[in-house]
Amino acid sequence: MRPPGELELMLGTLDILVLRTLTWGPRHGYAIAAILRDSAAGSFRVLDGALYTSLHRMEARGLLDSEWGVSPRGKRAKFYRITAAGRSHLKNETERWNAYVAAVARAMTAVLKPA
Amino acid sequence: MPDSWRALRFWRRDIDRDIDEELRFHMESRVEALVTAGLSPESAARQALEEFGDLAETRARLRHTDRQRDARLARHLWMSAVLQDVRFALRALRRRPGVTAVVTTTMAIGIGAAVSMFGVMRNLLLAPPPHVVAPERVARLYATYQPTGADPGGTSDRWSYPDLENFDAALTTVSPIGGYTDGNVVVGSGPSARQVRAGIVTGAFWSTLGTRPLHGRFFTAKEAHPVSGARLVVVGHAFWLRQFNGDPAVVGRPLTVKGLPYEIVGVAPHGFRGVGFGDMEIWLPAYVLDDGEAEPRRRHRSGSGYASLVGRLQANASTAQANDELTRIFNAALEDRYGRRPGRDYPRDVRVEAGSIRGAVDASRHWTPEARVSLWLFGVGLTLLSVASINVASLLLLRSIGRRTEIAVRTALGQSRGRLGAQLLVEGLVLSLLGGVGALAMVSLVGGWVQRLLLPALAWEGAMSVDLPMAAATAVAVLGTSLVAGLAPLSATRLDPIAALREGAIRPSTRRSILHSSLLVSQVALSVVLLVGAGLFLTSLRAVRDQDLGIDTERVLAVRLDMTGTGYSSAEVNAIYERGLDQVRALPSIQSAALAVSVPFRNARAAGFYLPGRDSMVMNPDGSAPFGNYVTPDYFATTGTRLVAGRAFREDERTRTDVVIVNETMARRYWPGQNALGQCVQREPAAACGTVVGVAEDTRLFSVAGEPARMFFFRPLDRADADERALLVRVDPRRSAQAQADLRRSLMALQSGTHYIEIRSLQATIDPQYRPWRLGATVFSAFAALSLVLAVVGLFGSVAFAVSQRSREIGVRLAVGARPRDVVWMVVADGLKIGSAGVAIGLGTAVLVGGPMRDLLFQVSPRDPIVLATASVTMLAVVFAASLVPALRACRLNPIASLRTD
Repeated sequence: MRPPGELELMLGTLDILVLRTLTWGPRHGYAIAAILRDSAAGSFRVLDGALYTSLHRMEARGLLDSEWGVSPRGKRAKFYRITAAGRSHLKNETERWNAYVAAVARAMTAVLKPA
Repeated sequence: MPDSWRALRFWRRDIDRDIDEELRFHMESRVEALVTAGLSPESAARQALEEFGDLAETRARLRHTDRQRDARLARHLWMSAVLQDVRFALRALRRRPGVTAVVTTTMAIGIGAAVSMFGVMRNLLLAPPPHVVAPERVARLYATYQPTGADPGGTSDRWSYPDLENFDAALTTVSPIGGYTDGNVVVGSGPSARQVRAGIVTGAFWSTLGTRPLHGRFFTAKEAHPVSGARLVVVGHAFWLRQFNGDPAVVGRPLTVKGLPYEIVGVAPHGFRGVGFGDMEIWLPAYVLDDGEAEPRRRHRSGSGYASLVGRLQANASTAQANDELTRIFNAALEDRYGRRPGRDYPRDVRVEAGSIRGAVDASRHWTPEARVSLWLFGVGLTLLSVASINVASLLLLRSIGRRTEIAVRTALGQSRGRLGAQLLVEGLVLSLLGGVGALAMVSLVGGWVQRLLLPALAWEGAMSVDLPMAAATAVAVLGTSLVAGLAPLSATRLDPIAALREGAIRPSTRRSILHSSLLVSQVALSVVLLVGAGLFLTSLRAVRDQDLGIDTERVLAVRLDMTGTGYSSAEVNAIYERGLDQVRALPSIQSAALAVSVPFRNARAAGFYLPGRDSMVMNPDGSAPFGNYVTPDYFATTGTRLVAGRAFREDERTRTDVVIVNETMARRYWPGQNALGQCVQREPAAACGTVVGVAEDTRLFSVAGEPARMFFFRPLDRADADERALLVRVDPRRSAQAQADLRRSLMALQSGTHYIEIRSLQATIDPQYRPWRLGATVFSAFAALSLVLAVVGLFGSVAFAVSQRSREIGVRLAVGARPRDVVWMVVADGLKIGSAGVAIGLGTAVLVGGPMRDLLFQVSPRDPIVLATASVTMLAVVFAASLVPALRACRLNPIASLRTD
């Protein structure tokens, strides 16, 4: 079903992306979904259900806080906000991610020597 | 329960609604966006759903996550509320260190009492003996005989060695099966020889229990055989520590037992006491019984039951199956043994049962008196705990009344009753916990000592350690106590804050609440119950001690010369005793001395006799044969047994067989209304007459209580009689301190080879029999005293508090001319009202619960009016004294000052 060229997100990566979207301020689930859709631009795909699962899970872990508010278009919506614990989690995970990516990139570009 | 917790439940109901709303908002927004981008509403909806994934599954997952989160949150909030309460309670306790100390001590005493009595009861009634593997599969065997003819039947756990062999060979449901008994044996030689308590066992005893030796090994079946066994000994743990400083190399060393060379093969583990309760110092094979005896008693013969049997139930066998098989085998053996001799009467339809090895049970499978008393003692401990917690409850109640203003302010500020209640409960719990810790410390420090004091001669090693059941019992006590202590002040939270604030400021409430009154009354009532119990046991103890046993037990010493293994013939032994008799008579500390075959309270032998004109043996009404003793002329002067008619034997009658002294029961029974002197008694039908020359008062044979009057007669002890004998001496009370040393010195010089001289007062022999009453009297008295103190302190506190609350009223009264006497009476009457209500209820309770105590008491009814009256008067007197102090203080109030205090 998946169009060619679309990637499956690695486990835990979604959490980092979601936390990132919240660093600029509280947002409701739909807004986060929209940002992810735009930033992915067809290169990977996130099911909205997985997004909500991630949000609730992170809320339970204390990385996020939620509050009911009114959306810009006047409807009741649940807004998520990143907590201090969430920020430090994001920082750690980002560093880990960067290190991982750099390591893999180094490995991939290394000249293969015959044994 | 804190209210914050209750609020959380509403959140939980919101979870589903919240998820639905959140997801609906998402769907609507997405569809709207897609429609704006140009899709038809239908395809927009389809695409939104596709982008979402499995809606139902997501919803379930979200619900699960949210629920977990809420639960965690709720726990967290609850914990912090409790923590806050604990902090608050601790702060409150620190602020009043005096009250805290009193309350904690009271709780510690109550909990400590209940827990240590639980420990006593557990050891005597419930706990399996230590070092027994899977004790529920190990059984002690009992035979129940049907009553036949004169034989009343009954249950017994005494078996012969052939019984054991028989069972061992045929049983399939029980295996292995071991036998045990105990006895006193002399260990060591020369001046260091002493008598110790020994467990005497067969080889399979150890494997049946599954016990492992600490060092070395135990005996094998072959080594323990009563006839062909070996001279081996296993030393008990305490003996090993004491004699050998706990040296493991003791295995293989020699130990003199009964004057014979035995070899130590092993050390029993710490606290091991077989399946009994006696403190066994060493363990010996059954072989020891006849080893070195000049005339072996042929222990291996059938019909001579001396050992108890223990067997291990096979894994696939039920107790019922085992009982059936045991019964079948035993009856078949009886049939086989006696059935071949026609005309001989032997027991039939004997029921053999495998009973539990838990608890202190006597040979007839009844709880020992100590065990039964221990149940009451547990009740006493619980009663004291109740008094203690009621005391604490009323103390906290008083304080909460004192804190009315604070509580009213907090209620007015919006703190809910639930929150307040939780706080008071937590305060009670904290106090009880402190008390529980104090109690455990107390029990582990002095519990063992108390038990040894209460129940000497029982093995208590490690029995009072604080283990899991003890800790659990303490926890239960702590919880119960904290409920009582915390719930009572709860009533103080039910008040109208406005009224309380107004009232409290001007005129504090003067009336005691019904709850508080009933707490005080029940405290007094429970104390009265304990006082009655103490009175009953003390009266029993006095009655059982004061009774005339017919023998001056306190002044008589029984002396035995142990000559096993010396090789002396019985004639030589007899000659030594005769010389000893002459020698000790000359000692200044000895007033009189005699020889006798039987020592009162230690042994007695049945001796049949016949009367002219009757061809059957004379029997006691209970079916037992009469007992007889062979004595030298000074026997009666020595024991203090009075001769109610006739005379004692004369020195020149020692070889005569034709003179007899009978006891009163026998004289009354056969020659009622006649003179027994000069009557004829025969050893065999139609044998020569023995003429009655004296009638002695009745004496007890074995027991100080519960023994029927039995027929008894005395004959002169011939120097040549082969029987074992003992030397009885009457000590000069002014020189009793040196009597034992004198005896030892005199008798040691008598004959070389006498390796041990056993000297024991008859009083020491019967002393253990007083134990149940002494135990009951001690614990009841101690706990009644404690309870009395607690009740009085509680009452005093309450009356004094009432006086302080009414000081204004009293001041007015005094100012308008009331006489001090009236004020005193008013306050004392306040205390006496509670006291008399408590006494009335307490007496009623004591009469109700006393009934089952009847068989533990001695010659006193559980409703003994003197005991009941003494308990009531004591209680009322103490209540009076406790109320008099605040009353006198009240009448000395300065009216002006007390009016100014408000």
